[in-house]
Amino acid sequence: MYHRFSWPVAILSFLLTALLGLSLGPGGLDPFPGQQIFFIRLARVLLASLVGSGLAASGAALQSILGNPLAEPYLLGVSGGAACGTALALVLGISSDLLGVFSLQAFSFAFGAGAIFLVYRLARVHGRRPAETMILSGVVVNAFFSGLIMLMMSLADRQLNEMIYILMGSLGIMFTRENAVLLAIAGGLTWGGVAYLWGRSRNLNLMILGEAQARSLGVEVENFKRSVFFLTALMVAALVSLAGVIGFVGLIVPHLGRLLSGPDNRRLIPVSALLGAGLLILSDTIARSLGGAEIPVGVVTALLGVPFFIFLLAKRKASS
Amino acid sequence: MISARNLSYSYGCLPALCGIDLTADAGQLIGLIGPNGSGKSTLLNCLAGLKDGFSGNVYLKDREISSYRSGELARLVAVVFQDNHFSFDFSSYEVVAMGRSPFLRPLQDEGPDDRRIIEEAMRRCDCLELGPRPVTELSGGERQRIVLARVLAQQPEILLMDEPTNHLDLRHQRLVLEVAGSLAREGKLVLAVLHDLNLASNYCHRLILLNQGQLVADGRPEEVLTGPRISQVYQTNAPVVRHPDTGRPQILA
Repeated sequence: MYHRFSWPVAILSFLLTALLGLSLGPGGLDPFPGQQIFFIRLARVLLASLVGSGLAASGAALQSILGNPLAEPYLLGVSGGAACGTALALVLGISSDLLGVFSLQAFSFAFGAGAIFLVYRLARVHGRRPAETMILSGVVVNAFFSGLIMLMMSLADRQLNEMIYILMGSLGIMFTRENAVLLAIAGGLTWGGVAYLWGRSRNLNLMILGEAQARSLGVEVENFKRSVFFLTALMVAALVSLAGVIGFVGLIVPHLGRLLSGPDNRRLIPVSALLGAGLLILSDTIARSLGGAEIPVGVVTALLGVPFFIFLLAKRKASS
Repeated sequence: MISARNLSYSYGCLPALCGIDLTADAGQLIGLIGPNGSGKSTLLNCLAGLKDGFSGNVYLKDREISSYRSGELARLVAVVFQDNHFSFDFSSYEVVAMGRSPFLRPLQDEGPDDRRIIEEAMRRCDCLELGPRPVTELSGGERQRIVLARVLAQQPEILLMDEPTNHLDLRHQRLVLEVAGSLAREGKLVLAVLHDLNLASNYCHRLILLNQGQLVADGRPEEVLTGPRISQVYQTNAPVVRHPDTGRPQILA
């Protein structure tokens, strides 16, 4: 059975990519770069595993709870909100003077959190929030924020470069004393969130049977949905504010995880988290060691992700 | 075991159930019949605790249904739904094992007792050999046997089924109703929405006939399925004959 090897494979892939990330630099293999560079690499590996595991686990959870294999963390409109916050902070030049170094991230997080409430208000139908209206209002809110981002990009001049860079995703955020608090909050929220999703993985399995069936098997469906939506949305807001909109990790990694561990969330959540961390460490290592200038990591994940996505779509077409 | 008092439900301003009164005791297989849109599924869902906002009262074991916590309800009542579709390729065994969920803590694995119950349920529904196969690749009849095994693994005292014989061939229709009948003989209460009047007549101890949200008749099959009542409720004339083996009324299309 493939299930027996899912844990060792996931852990091994995480450890190998972490080792690779720690020992590769712009000049190729360089395992002993000195203390300062080593800590910079370690910080990036840690941030990559935080973002990768958070996105992958919340993607797996949302796909289960919505019963839809094409669901992903950015579907709920939060990423658009957080990215819009980043863009606005850059245009207004808030980052330098208002709240110190981490104001950019704080601004972005606040916008992401605002987007959650907007989506949640919109999705309410007769006191309930059906999965379809959640997805629809997420898409609508995302589209609105994308419009705002485009508007700001067309108005911006010298900030445009920085804006593009952040929106495409980057793990280059500097670890300083000022943003340590923010990183600690994001870390606690994300890994606490992953632990919660793992703890509720049986309920996630039952949600795949449909809401009525899950309810008949003892799940308090509306409460459970609300907890998962809010938690994953908060996680995404925190992660996007730190690293920008890194695409496809939340969509492909759960599918990779299913190939390895099967669809049972009791294995899928931790396996996806490990694989997501590994994939993002790998992508970031490629992004910063290929050629001279650093490529946005979102570009690397998308270039790895799109072919895989097409493959999945083709497989779905063939089987139906 | 189940009783409903003056139960009404409406979708917006469209009434679906109007003042239903019924009592059902353990050890019976009861068929819920009626034309399309007569409120059968709505009634079943109200009795399962899956519909909020009905008026009137529903009691399970002399306790108001709203006073049950959802986990507690799941250990008492199991439901077979009309359509079962699966977005991910769980193995058939894993799907049946989900029936044990109400009895397990969040991260607890199924123990030896649970596995024995799961295998016994699968044997009873003639689907033990389907265990390792992905549920997404099963035929309609195979999938319905898996779903039935899942609710048996739930070991409910009350089993509610919404058209469990839909899309099944003759052999599987009979298998489903025979399993339902044997549960009733073991002292459980089984209530099934059935579209096929002849199957309902042959297998059920009692039939409840709904029309336009109202309870029209309630009794033994030969009391409920009379020629005049069929033509009145279904608005079509169909001859009623006796089944050669069981003597129960059968309606010829």
